[in-house]
Amino acid sequence: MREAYHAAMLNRRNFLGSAGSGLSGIALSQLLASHGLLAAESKRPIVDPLSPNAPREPHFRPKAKRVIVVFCSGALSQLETFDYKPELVKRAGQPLPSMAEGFKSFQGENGNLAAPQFEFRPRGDVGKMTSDLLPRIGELVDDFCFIHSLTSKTNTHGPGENFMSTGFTLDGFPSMGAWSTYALGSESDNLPSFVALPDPRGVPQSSVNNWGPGFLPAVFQGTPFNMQKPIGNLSTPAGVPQATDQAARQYLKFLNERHQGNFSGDTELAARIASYELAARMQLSVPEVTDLSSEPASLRKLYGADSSDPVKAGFAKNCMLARKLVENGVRFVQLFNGAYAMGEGVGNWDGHRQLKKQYALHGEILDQPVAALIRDLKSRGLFEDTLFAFVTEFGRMPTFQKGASGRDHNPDGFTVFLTGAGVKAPYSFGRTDEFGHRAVENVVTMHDFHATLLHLLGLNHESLSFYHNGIERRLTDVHGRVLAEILA
Amino acid sequence: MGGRPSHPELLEWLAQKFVDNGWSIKKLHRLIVTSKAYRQSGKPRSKGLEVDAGNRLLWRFRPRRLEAEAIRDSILQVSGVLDRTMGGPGFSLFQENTNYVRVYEPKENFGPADWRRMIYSHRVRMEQDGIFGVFDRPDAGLICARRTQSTTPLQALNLFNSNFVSEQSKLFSKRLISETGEQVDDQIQLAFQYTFGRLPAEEELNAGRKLINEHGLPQFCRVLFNSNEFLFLP
Repeated sequence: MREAYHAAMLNRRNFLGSAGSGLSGIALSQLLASHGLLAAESKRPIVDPLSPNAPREPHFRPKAKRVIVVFCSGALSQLETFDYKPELVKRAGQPLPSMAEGFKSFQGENGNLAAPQFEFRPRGDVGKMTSDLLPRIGELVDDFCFIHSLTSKTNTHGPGENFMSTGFTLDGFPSMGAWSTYALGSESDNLPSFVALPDPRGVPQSSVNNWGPGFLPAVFQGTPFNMQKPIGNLSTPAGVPQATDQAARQYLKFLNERHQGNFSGDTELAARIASYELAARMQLSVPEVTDLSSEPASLRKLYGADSSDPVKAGFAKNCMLARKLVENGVRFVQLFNGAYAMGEGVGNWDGHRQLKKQYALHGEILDQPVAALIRDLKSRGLFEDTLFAFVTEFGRMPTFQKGASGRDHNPDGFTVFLTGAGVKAPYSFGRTDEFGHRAVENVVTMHDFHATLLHLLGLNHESLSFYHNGIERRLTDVHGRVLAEILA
Repeated sequence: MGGRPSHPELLEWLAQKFVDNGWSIKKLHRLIVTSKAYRQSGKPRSKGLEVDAGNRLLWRFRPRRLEAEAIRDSILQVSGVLDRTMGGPGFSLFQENTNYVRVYEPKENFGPADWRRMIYSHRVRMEQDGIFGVFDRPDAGLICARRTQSTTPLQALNLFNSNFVSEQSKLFSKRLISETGEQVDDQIQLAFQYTFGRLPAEEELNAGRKLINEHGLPQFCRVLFNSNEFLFLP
């Protein structure tokens, strides 16, 4: 019996072993592929060390060439923004019926259901119910594709941000921008291919891990800067005149080229010489792209860049910068609204205590600049091939916390939206339960979200991989489904 | 790791030798490093480049950039200020904290307390040193079996423009002057020996003299710290 089993195994193994080469093999792999049974072939991008950011072909024709992600750090409540729950208004003050069934709080005991802290009203031609917290963004709903049923597997900010930005809750995995630029390179040869724009108040909770390269080569990491803080060491050292700097560069080039002569054909050495040339170009092009003085006053006004609130004005300028960056060929821009914890709900959307009061402040900072950015991209035709994603790490509870007027963390159902290239609009996908607590229809995982994002960039999430510590790594780990339902 | 071996017969042979020689790692190392293959020149040959530019067959030792820590340590060593104290509490590459949860802002100005070997710097999860972190230094919270190696414009900006390198260039200049005096040619010759372990060629000396005469010795030192010859193992 045992021997027969072995013989059968060997035969099957032999058959599969030769299947790849023979004609029968072609027929078999086609059969398997048509039934979706064949694991996707890994397609590691071929990166030229001399110009690692040169544009590379996607796997198939993309809908989007570039991406802007607006990341609302601190967990922006779905219930105060886009997930309208009339039941929550009706039954405010009553206990959540499912409270006994595995309610996962983060900070401690929760009280009763609490009505949305901002009024909802129909907006756009579609009449989508959105709240008065973000009225200007709400006006644009006809262009949006909402996902109301996104879920996370953590209710802690740092891991949650990691999960949204990198597909893993732990630190050390490449961010979606790093994967995108690893796959596609950049269309700009004098700006970083992936830029992270932290909030004027500071970096988000999991900081650089949001835009880190993980185990990908460091060249694919996001370069963090914004209108408040330029790229580190971008300018010539203080007190060094231009002519001196130039002379030093010349001598460096002379030494490097002589040295290169002993190693002709060595790409690493040549790449390093080239990197100094790119750095020199960046020293010119970054100040240019961050100079907003040539933007018309009407546009500055649209964004709120002259607001008397320095945080709002700062964020508005970062939004303007985001547009200029994608306009100049940057592949991936991740723009943050909200910083690290400066006290509960003070620096970001973490409204545990006094949600209404704090959200009113944060909403004023977020709403006008982001609405203006979307309008601006649209009016310049950039929407045709730019994917715009509005995200946060998780949602908030339908209840108030005991003894507080704010909501606890909720990873079981929250809202993000996509707009721009390649998605259905107006469209709302997925649904949470009657209180907006848990996703109950078309539940979406973070992996599905990432698979869809890569798909819009013309990339098969199962094929885009990097070999690390014995594993062919992917943004989507071993999960992910492209949300075909939301594709235009 | 995980790929097919490039020289399977050689591996077999080495394994057998290892067993035959009484499992002595020392003998195995001696066998490898005294072999003709190991001792051949690292200079690229056009025929080799044609057949195997990616060096899969290990026909030469490619020039390799030093890791982050080795670059920082080397700069301090060459400028003459490296504090080689072993053990004890480390030093911080980050500014002091004022927020109610710890926030890490990389230091921009460094003093003698920070001039120890980089292995003694406090490692912080998720946060990197503001200058050398971009040289593929892995995150402190991670297991990294093998570092990636990449070349980026941020590395160039950090080495060419940072306060750290400017300051070290000045310290290196001071060292050169104190050890050789005011003669520019002597300074260049000593500087080349410290950074490259060799004397300058005539053209390098001439161009260096011009740079120093017109723009000062620290600029010359700044260039040496940025040169490929300094940063790469040949």
